[in-house]
Amino acid sequence: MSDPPRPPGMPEPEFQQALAAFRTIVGQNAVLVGDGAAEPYLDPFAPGDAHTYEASAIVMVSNVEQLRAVLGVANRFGVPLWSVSTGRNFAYGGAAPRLKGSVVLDLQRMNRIIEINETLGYALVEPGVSYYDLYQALQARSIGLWLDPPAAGWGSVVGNTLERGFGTTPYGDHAAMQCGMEVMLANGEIVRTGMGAMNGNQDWQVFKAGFGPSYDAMFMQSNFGIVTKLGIWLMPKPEGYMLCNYKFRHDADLESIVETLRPLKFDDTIQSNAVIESAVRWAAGVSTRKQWYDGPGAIPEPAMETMTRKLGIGRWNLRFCLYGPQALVNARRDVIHQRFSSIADAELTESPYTHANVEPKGGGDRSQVGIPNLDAFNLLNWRGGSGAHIDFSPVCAPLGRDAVRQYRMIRERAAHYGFDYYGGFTAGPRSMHHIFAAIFNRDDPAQARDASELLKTLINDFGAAGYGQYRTHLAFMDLAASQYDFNAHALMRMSESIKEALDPNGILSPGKQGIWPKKTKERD
Amino acid sequence: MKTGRREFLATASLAVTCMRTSWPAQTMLWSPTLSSDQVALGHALTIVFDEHVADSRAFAVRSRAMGARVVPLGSDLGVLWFERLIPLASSPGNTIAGLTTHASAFLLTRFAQGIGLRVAQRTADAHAGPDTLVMWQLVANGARTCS
Repeated sequence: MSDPPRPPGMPEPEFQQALAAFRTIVGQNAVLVGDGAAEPYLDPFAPGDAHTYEASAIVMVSNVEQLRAVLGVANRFGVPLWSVSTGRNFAYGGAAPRLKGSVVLDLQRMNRIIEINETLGYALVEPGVSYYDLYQALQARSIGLWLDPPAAGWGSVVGNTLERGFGTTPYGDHAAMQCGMEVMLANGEIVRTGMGAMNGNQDWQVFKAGFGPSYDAMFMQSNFGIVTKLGIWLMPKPEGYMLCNYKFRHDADLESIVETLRPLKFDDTIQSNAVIESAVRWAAGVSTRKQWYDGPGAIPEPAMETMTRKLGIGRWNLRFCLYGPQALVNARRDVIHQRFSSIADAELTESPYTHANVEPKGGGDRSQVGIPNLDAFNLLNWRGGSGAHIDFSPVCAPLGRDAVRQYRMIRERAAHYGFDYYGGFTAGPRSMHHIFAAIFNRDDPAQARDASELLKTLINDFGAAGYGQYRTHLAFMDLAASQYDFNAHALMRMSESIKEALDPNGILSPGKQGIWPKKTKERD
Repeated sequence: MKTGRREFLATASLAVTCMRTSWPAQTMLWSPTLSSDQVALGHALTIVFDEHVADSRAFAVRSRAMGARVVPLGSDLGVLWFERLIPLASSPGNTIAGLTTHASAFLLTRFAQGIGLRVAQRTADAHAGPDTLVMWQLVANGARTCS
């Protein structure tokens, strides 16, 4: 095993002094270095050598006092830190830092659920609180609120919200459901946003803006501060729900599905985020690729037909959930059903109306009623071996023509590199997240390399076509950011100015979302 | 490390034996019928298996015959981890191992690493079927591993 990396440009003696100072603050056992200590923080889905993004050490803080002291040391020695909440940002880099040799600042020990307010429907949590933790707390206290879990329920509520993750209930836009933050700036100062800026105010988690400029979004997908508390709105538990699952037989149905769906989402007839899943995405949850095709290249058409027929799924599959009193749910169902019935050969099915206390079985269904789960990881079995995936995540307007264009662009490029189109659209009222996972076997270097090349190609293709990503893997952050090029990258220049003003030593998450500190840019 | 299916299943069986010997001599392997109080006081080997995978079921049957407690993955791996495996992993004298698909192995070993356990694992392409199976063992830091 090679020696662990050091922060770039930092002599070993200085690094050792910094580590000693960190140990003084957080304790011997909360600083992990050497002897494979950083191994669990490597990206398990790296499309190539995971050590390209290897941390030099890990520092685990338990409270804001420790955090402030750690930032002080980092400023003094110029140690780049990479903050993670629970470090499960898998498919986008996991816990690994963008800049090799950074010290991962692990916040998972800051795991208090500070408040759950049933009357006003929110929770205030620290970064180490996972969706499972919050769910268990809601259950244990019999609180009539639902959270909105992302596909991977073991992640951090704070982390996922800051990455603008999403789920499939009506509260599925996590960033939009965030209200109030506590942030530690690089100089150790604590700031509270919105109403939290006022001593004694009780409205921190119910009114976002406060007075004057609103900064919450500035701390999402950025490296301007470390969020230490975050308010998240929770959905009132409905009386009951109805899970709907529509199957569309033809590949060409996508445009009609999106065009039919848009007005129903727009006017809130469909309350939840609605998910349009390709056949492969559905199949990967319940089967493996070898069952249908074991040759090179993307699954050919005859095998696709066999797969959809035997699994009883559509080429496109739409799932959503309706909530409320039975009469209202039935009324919504009837309208939706009538609209989609115009699509030829569509199979429109729904579960019986179910009381909210009754839990569904499947992972996707459980997510729609606020229960975290991990079924989405079944895709790791799709290609066999050490399954991994990296995701390409462009934003798509809820227009049939855009959805079809994006789908074809990805499908054709993916096939060229030997990948199946494992993709789908999660539709909110005015936009869709189009998520494509390049699934590969990490034991096969050629597959991993092809996945990486495919992602680069797609980012460039989509940029040329005027489409941008909402999120990306560490390896592509610079490339994805460079697509946002209006007025010669004016947005990035503004981000760099803010970075320089708030973090002049460039210690916070260098390179996050393509935002590099001035000193790193000058050095490199 | 990769092996063929036949060799792998034999190895998996041996691994259970190895896990037994990696514990102190007084270690006993309890049957699944023990009360929770008894389990809390003693040592136990728990084998996690995937009830949907034939080789995993076979492994569980063999392990149970050797005295291990066997636990199915069930419908929610997170619930399994938080409600059943964390209490076992957190009490001295328990070891947890399994023969599962790669996805389940990935999730459980990541959970384990999150609470400071070390992980030993080996992979086999099950040539008779579509699933790649992974045998894994969660090891408290300082304990000896078989791999």
